[in-house]
This record gives sequence, C-alpha cells and structure tokens, in this order.
Amino acid sequence: MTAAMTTFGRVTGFTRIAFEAFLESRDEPDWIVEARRAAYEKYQDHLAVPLDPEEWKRVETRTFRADQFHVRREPTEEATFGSLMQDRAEFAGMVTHVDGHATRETLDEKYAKQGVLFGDLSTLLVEHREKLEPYFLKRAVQAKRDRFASWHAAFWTGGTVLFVPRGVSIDEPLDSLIGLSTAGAADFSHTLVILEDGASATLLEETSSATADAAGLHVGAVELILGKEARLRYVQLQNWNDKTWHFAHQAGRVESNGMLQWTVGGLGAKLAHIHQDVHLDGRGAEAEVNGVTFATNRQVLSYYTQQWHNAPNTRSDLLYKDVLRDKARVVWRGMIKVAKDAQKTDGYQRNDALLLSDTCRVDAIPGLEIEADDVRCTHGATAGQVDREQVFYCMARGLPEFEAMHMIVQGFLQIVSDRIPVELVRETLNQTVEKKLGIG
Amino acid sequence: MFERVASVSEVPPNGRKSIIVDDVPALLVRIGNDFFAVEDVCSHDGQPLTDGPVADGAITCPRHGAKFDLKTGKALCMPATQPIPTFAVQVRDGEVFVGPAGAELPPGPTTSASVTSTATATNSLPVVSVLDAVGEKVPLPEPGDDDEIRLIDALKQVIDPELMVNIVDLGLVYTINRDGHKIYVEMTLTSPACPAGPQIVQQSKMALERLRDVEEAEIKLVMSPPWTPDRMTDEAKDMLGIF
Repeated sequence: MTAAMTTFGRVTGFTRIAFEAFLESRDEPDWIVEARRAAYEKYQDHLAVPLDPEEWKRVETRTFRADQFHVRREPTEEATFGSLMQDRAEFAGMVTHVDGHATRETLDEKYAKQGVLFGDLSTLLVEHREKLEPYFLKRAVQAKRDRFASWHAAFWTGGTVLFVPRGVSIDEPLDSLIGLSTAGAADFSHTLVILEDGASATLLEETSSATADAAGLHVGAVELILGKEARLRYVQLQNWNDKTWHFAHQAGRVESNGMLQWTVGGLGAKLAHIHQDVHLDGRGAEAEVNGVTFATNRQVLSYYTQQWHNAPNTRSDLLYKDVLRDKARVVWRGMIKVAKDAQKTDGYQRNDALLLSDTCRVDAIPGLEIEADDVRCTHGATAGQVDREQVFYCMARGLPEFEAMHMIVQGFLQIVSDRIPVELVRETLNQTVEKKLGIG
Repeated sequence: MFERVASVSEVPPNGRKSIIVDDVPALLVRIGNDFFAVEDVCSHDGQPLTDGPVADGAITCPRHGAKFDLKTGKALCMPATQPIPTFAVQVRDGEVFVGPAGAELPPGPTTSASVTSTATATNSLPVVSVLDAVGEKVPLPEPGDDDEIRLIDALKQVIDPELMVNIVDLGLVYTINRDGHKIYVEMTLTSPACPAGPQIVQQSKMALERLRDVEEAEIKLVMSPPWTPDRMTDEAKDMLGIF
C-alpha cells in the first residue's frame, strides 16, 4: 500500500484503494456512489479480458501505464491555458474545468430564466437529478460497454452539462474548456448535452494543457441527446499537449427530424482513440460529422466511427480530413450500420488523408453493414502525398516553399472547413493548422 | 542514451523479451549469445511482431509473413517493403543495454574490459537445433524403412499448385509418425500466408488415407521452424532453377 501513496498522501493509479479514496473525497448521494461502484466492478471485469481487437489492434497502447496517473482531489488554483476560442467571441455561457474540477461557470440570465441548465456535471447532476439522471450514461454511452466506458463511469470527475428545455433556442454559442495543468493528472470529464424537442444550441468545447510537457490522461465521454426537431451544433477541438493520452466514448442520439452537426478536431495528444457513435433513432433524423486531424511527430490519432441508421428516411454524412507529417499515424475505422426497417436511408462516409512525409502512416478502413434493401449508402477513402508539381507551380509564382505547402494543406482542409458553420471555429482551425505547420 | 532493459539471465538463448525503448515498444531477441533489438511493429501492417518466429537471424511477422533482418531491420520479403527501426544493444556485467542505432555505450566505471559488443549477425542458427530438440527426422526417409518410404511416396503425390513441385521435395514435410493405423504429420508452408495452404493440407490427408493400412491422417501445420529454400532437395532446386 505504501507504494501506491505519494508523500502527499495522495493515492495514484486506479486500484481499489485509489477508488475508495476517490469515493471518500467526493461526498456524493448514494445513488451516484452505487452507480460508480457497479461501474468499477465492470471495469475490473473488462480489465481481465483483452480489448476488442477489431477496434484496438491498430492502436498502440503498449507504452500506456495507467498507474502513472491519478485523479486530483483538490482543484488547481492558478493555471492559464492557451485557449483558442474563449476570448474571441460573445458566448451565452462559459464553463472551465481544470484537472477535473470546475473553476468557472457562467450562463446568460435570460437563458437561465427559461430553464436552461449549463454548468458543472457534479453539482447539476445532484441538484437536477430528475432531469439528468434518466440520460446520464444510459442513453448514448453505456457504462458497461467496454474498459474505457466503465473506467470513465467509475471515476468521472465532472464535466459540462447543457440542458435546453422544449422549444428554447440559444442563439449565441456556449463555450466549454477542459484543461489539464499538473503532470500525472487525470481528467475524466463528461460532456452531457440534452436538447428537448424543438430546442437548439451551439456548444464549442476545447481541451487544452497548461504546459507542453506535463503528461496527462483523459478518459472522457460525450453524450449528445437530441429530441424531435432539435438542432445541435457541437464542436470539440482536442488540443492537448503531445504527452497526453486521450481515450473517449462519444455518442449522439437524434430523434425524428432532429439535426446534429458534429465537428471533431484532433490536433493534440500523444495518443488519442475516440469511439464515436451517431444513432439516428427517429424518422428523418440527420447527422453531419466533420473531422479534421493534423498529426505530427509521433502522434497517434485513432477514430472508430459508427453511423447507426435505426429509423427510415435518416441521413448521415461523415467527412474526415487527415493531415500527417513526421512519424505520425492516423487510424480511421468507419462503419455505417443500417437496420432492417431503416428504408430510404442516405448514408455517406469519407476519409481523405494528406501525407506530408514518407514516414507517416494512415490506415483508413471504411465499412458498411446494411440490412435494409432500399437505401443509398456510399463510402470512400483516399490517401496521397503533396503533388510536387503543385508546390513547384506555387514557387514559380513567387511563393516560398512553406507558404506553398500551407496553401495546399489549407486547400485540402477547405472542404471540411466550409462545412463548419461557425466562423470562430473555422478561424481557430486555420490558426492551429498554421501553428502545426510551424508558421503561425 | 542507453537504457538497461534486461539482465542476460532473464532472456534464455533463442528467447525474447518485450521492452520499451525511448517510449517505443521494442523486442529484444537473443540468438545464441547475441542480442538484437528491433522496434516491435511490422512495417507492413503496423501491428506487433512480438510472437513471430525467429530463424536465420530474421523475424517473421506472424500475420502476413513479412520478414525482417534482426541486425539491420531490412525487409527481406513481401509484403513488407520498408525496414523496421533497430537499436544498438550492448551487454555489460550481465546486464543488457539498448540505445539508438549506431550508438556506443559510454564506458562505465568498470572499464571497457567487461564490455562486449554483440550486435553482430552469426551463422550459428537455431534452425537445426530446434529440429533436434523435437527429436524428429528431417524430410528424407531412412533407407530400408519401407513403411516410411511408402508414406513419403504417398505425400509426394501432393503438388504445390504454385511451384508445381511436390511437397516432400520442397521440404515442407517435417515429421511423419505412425501410431497403429493413425498417421501424424507435421508440415509447414512456404509462407504463413500461403493461399494454397488449405488445399495442400486436404490433399495430404487424402493421399495418406488412400493407403490400405492407414485409417486416419492428422496433418498439423507448424510455422516453426519456418520454411526456407534450403530445405528443398537438389532436384526441386533444379526444377525451380535455383542453384
């Protein structure tokens, strides 16, 4: 036991001792504690069996050591983050989490009056149990699903909740920032977005590390639950430092005629693996999934995306664009699943990769599983290097080589960038791309 | 920078150990008294080489049969075309140190007397000894052993559909054992990914079971030791134009 304790009396790792100490530090109602205990047992069960090879065989987790990380008990006071978005627009509300603890929560008064909830999960889940409990880790992400889901369900620390009641629409975007500041700190934040029938909102979320060399761990979950005719635009920019491990289950559920527009930016992390599910549950539900990744050095970014068409007349459109350099690696495994009665489905998935070096590698594996007999489903994947002739052409017009490269990369990402409706996010993405290219 | 990754006693001759060097998963392989360290990722499919068979100073990927030289990392056959990174290995005082390729372990306090440079390929290969350890005879029949000759002749009817040479002359058959009316055969394929595998196995079984005094033949595919062209008879080599 002494080995598990540091001199500060803080338990590291995720052993049973650490779990008990974690429960003790949290002072939560019994129903939450019970759910955590059940999840912890599931986590132990999952640890005993290997990860699903179909999902994990291309993801290098051999150098990952969970016992190097711990959940911090007390919030970290002062930490500044290079936020890409926070200071650049008017927001209807803002939430900031540092090392798993909420440090700031604001929400425009006029929306609070209409019953909108926006803030930290650990307090709101207790205060508004009747509203949130039926959804939390039940509808979109199942706590028992796999090792990382149950690990998250046992140790979730907080996260951003957005609840928009029936018919309310929030015109300005909301902002959520998740930060890691301490080496060895683990973030188990949970994003829970619930839009009741006819509601609409835009949530921009960003993850960030305070320093470039503090190794962190994120075992997260994102749940986006949309009622009938609800409209959600959700953006998550993963921008950890390149020492951070990022594992996440992210799932959206869309009811009849609902519209989910989901944009994922993968820029940081040492290794990121995201299991992303989109369920179209009601007739006419729509989802558009955009992904932009830029991997450099030895980064590994892995996406396991599934588009579930569970009802007729549903439409999904997934487009991922990957840029890779150095020895980076991107893995994308996509699947469109069409249920038997999901006739007139229109499903699309596409992954394009631009390889800027000879030593990077992309694995793109699209897939279809169709049980209905009257659908339109298409998929595709491309991978290629920068055409030297294009670079030569630009240089012949007087552009230096790096600027030519920049233009080509920007052009490659333009298609997905055009699909992002929020100007701020487009700008932010461009800026990060420049930074990654070393010219920003 | 060199890191200590194992003690010599931890890794028996022809043994191996999964290690992490500079945050990269690597494999430490011992052949005789020589140690080699390579990145434990196949350059073809990007997945671990960990359990791949080792022979002739090379490791074979257990999935698609790509082969890499343990000393240089060079890809020796398809489907791999790119080399795998290697590391410099040095042994000092019974401890194994691994560092970046080409680097030398700085002399330690115990002076260079005990430093052994080991990253050299040798010709003392484990292939023969592995066979001896199993205690079996290599393909060709012993003279005068009628039963075995009959069994071998039966297997000679099975032709590798790609090379058009029978499996016995190709050296694919490792052992034949009789237990009453049952025959046990251990054989291999020219590569683990050989597309004709199921066909060859089925034909071998049928060829043996056609014999009067054979009720059942059990064909076991083994990938260790892996097949090499050296296992072919001279006749087969002639047919394939290998000299």
